[in-house]
Amino acid sequence: MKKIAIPILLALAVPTPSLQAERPILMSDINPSQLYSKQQIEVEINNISQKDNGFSILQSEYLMLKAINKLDEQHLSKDDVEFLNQHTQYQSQSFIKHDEGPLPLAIFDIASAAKYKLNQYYVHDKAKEYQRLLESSWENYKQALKTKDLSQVQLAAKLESMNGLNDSQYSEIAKELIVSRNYQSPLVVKAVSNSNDASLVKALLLNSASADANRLLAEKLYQFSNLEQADILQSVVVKNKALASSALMQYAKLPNNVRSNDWLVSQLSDSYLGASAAKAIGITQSQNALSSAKELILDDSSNRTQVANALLALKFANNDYAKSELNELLERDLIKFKDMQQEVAKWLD
Amino acid sequence: MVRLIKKTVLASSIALLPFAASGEVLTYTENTNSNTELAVGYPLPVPVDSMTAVSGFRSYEFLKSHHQALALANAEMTSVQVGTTHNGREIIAYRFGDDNNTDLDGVTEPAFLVNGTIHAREWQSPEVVTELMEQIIERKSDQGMVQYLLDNTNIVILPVSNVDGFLQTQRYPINVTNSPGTTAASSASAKFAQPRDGRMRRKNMPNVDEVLSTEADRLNGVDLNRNSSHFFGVQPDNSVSTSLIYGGANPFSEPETQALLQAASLGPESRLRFYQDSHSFSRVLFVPQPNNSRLNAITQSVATKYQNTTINQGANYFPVIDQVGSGIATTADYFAYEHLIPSWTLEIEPPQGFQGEPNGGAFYGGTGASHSGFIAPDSAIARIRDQLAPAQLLMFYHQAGPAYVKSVRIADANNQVVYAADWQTSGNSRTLNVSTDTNLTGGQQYKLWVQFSKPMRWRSGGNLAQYPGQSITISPAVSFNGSASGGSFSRSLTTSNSNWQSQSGGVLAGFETYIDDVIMLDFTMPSNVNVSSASGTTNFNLSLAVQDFAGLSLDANPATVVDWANGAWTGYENSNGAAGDTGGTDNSYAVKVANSSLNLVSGGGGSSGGGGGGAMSWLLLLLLSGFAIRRK
Repeated sequence: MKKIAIPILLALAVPTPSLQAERPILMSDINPSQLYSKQQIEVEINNISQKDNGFSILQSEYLMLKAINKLDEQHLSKDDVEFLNQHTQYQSQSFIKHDEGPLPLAIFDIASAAKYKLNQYYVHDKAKEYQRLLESSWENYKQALKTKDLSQVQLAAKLESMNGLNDSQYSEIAKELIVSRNYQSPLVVKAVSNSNDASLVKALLLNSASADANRLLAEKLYQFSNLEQADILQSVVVKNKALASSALMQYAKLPNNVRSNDWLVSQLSDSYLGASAAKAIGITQSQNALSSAKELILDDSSNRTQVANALLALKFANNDYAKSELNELLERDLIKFKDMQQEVAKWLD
Repeated sequence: MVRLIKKTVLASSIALLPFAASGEVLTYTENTNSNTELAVGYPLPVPVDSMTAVSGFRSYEFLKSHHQALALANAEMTSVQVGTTHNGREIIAYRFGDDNNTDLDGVTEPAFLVNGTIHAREWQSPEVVTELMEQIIERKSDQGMVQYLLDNTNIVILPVSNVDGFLQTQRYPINVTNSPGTTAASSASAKFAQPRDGRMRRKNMPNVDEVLSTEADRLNGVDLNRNSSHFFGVQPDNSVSTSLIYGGANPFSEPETQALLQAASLGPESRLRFYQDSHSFSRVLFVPQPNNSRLNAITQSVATKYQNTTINQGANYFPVIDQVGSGIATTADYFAYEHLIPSWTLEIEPPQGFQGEPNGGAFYGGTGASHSGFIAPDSAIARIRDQLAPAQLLMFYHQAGPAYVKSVRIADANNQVVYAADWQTSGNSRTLNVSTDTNLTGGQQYKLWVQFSKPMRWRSGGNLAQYPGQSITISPAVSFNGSASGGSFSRSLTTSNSNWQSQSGGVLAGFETYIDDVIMLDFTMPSNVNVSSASGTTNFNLSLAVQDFAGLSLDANPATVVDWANGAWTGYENSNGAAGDTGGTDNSYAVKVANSSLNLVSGGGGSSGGGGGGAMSWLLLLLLSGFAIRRK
């Protein structure tokens, strides 16, 4: 298939009319015959096997994409690499109209598929080098990981090469990487995540705002004791604004005997995090915490932030006790801010 | 994680509906391709339980809690339940503004409506809209753009309209069911070509259970962006109930689209001047064009300004202009055609079809697999949120309307007011009240203080700057014009950027209501104007030509209050007094200058040329003119 497709596909790679990169291909840039409906695409693809004299543009591009996807990036031949390279600049010629407006969209993104496949190939190839290094010298391997990445491929290869490490190796490399790199580095995140070392995990969570850190927070903390989790989560709430709200929710799920509801209530006065603390109190369903929240509402010295977040705690608890407290506060005109009264009334409608 | 979710989903599906026919549950993965798996090339986002913004996508429950918390804590934001979904969930819109429906002049406020998450799988949408809500609240006391908007306009935002559908996508963040017509034996590419339900649900959820694998209902639902009245049913598939673009039984048949109308009524509809429906993906604006040339010109102009701001922020949101009179029953079509206002469908990134830029998920280094553009990686969303907020706020500022001159003061060197004029609004008209009108003297030093009706300049770090992506002349243009001794004259005053006032102080001291709503400058009253008599006075008309930071010129005649009707501005005059959409120079302030301080010529001297406001003595000028006469 691949050998047949190459000449056809290169012939099809006719330069599209000169377009500025600043704008997408528009309807006026293509020939109406290049535009297919979903039904036409289905028919064209279903008819591929029945073709005996040449393929349509759409069929050729379909076959081209299929040929690219079929290639095993772990085992590409020189011809395969050349084939992929040739297609990284391919400009699609068959289009479908965007669902929401007059914009032609390439049906098959051949160039992207070829680029991704090639990239994966280079990553695997490079990863093998690191794996050989790992097998021959642990010290040299660690040194290589600490060396600055010259490209995304190199970074991805390093990450891939780490897959075979054990817990203690992860822990060791994590400690060394933390010294030489910052906490946002994917290598640090991967090493720490796999280290099963509470102190390393805590250090990372205190210093990273990345999506990886969020995943770690949600997926890995359970492996530590409840006390360790409580310690880590409270520290994150206090010291890492980016993860603080998520950490509060995790903290709220800890058992009553390790969780400090008073501490949660104390967070209600925080102008940034108070609403999250209210949500966390709601999750705990702790009647003591909800009573404390009510006291905060009734306290004449409470400011807007405290009153709002205390009301939210009752709302988010969403149980009979909390609803009844909210009703009472409203009926007895105990919420001192009129705009808040109106919002609370809407909750209870 | 990926495996865990898949197994959980399958197990729960089977447990809940053991007798239902099964669709095939497919899985998106980071790197694995198989007959039931498709690699997107980066970690798949899973909703995060966080109320504050994170590097990722928040779960609906926490987004909603966050919105409600903002509404409770801030009097400038109020929640309104505008509907209930098929599955009994609240649809909540939020209104931003002060507690009245009038601007600071007492005129009924204009309104803007932004809709989010009408298509369930477009997770970028609620995050982008929530960022907009957050920025409005965070900057509510900025004494600038946002405070102005809250005082003078009514912003309505519906962050998640398709609540049931959005929850379904978040319930199954990596799973979908196969394309209609395919079976387990079909190729993976065919099965993933039109994935339905789960992470790729687009429609709402009437008669749809929340179990992914049940075959009977997985194609059900109405495309809420085909359920509007204009162009209803124009696409053949709009009437096929299992189609991705099924339009429903009739226009606005769905609780979600009814909720959108309800949200519009908070404007109210008659006051709307801008609508945006927030989708993903493609990184374009789809811009409807009703058969209304003025509206279309304004819409294209603001869309270009929007684009320029996004380019400045690092992303190019290109306006794709529809053919005049065509549509497909989107909500953007509805607001464009029904209310004749600038309206569009925003398609948030990743881009599609831009030459030299990878499409869909490939934009993030992914495989570019079919539909991967709906799955932006966690690491991208914080940037996306930040890039779009300035353009959206600019639209509100622009569509709030052009500025007009509210007040003019001129004071002499002793700080005594010698000229005072204020426009006083009553209903839809204004009158100029000139309370002080003392004769001025050519060649004397004065201070000019002019207040505009909105903050006119943007500041970055306290310094004057162009609003991101916009380009205007920052310094004001101020001149005196008039007729004297047989001809017209025009004398420009020297102005600079520093004339804009960032310090409070009010009349003759600083800004009045908003930072940069005032210019203040010292000037010398021009004396090089020819007059034929040393007695009496000559009218010098103060002319003010300024654009706001969105590029809208002044309303040249504040006597008619600017409004919006039939797709265009009303009461918006240009320099010649003609109503239109461009505005111009306000020339309304006649200052009297004593002829004795001007250039006396005998028998008329024709028109005077330009030049700065010099302080040449009229006696000297008389001598020079006499010399000129002798040379003749």
